[in-house]
Amino acid sequence: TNPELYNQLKIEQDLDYRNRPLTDEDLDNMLPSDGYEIMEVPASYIPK
Amino acid sequence: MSRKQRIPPEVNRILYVRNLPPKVTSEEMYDIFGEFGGIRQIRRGNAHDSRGTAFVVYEDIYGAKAALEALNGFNVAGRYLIILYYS
Repeated sequence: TNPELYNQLKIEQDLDYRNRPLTDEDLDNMLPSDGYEIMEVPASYIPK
Repeated sequence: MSRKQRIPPEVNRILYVRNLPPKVTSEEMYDIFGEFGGIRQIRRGNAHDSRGTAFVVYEDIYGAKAALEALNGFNVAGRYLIILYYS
C-alpha cells in the first residue's frame, strides 16, 4: 500500500486505541478513589 | 475521511486540573469543560490534600486536547486554572 495510506491507517489505529471506551472499572483503576468523589452529572448537561 | 494528524504520546483523554475554586459546582465544571467535547466523568478532590483539584475524563482525545489548550490559565472566580495531561 502507498506510504501515505499506511501512515493514515497507523494514525487511525492509534486513535482508536486511545479513544477506546472506558468502563467505570477502568476509571476506578486509572484514577484515585480516596480523596476524590465522582461529580453528579447535572440534569442540564447535554453532551456536545 | 478527514486527514487525521498524529497525536503526541503525552496527550490523553484525562486532564488533571489544579487551582479550582473549592465550591465549584458540577454544573460549572460541566459547563466549562463540556464546551470542548463529551465528558465521560469528572472526579473532584474532597479531602484536605486534594481540594481544588479534579480529574476531567473526556470521551474523545480531541476534546481533551482542545480543552487543555483553551483552558490552561483560564480564570475561574479569580483563580487561574492549571491543566495537565494525566499520566
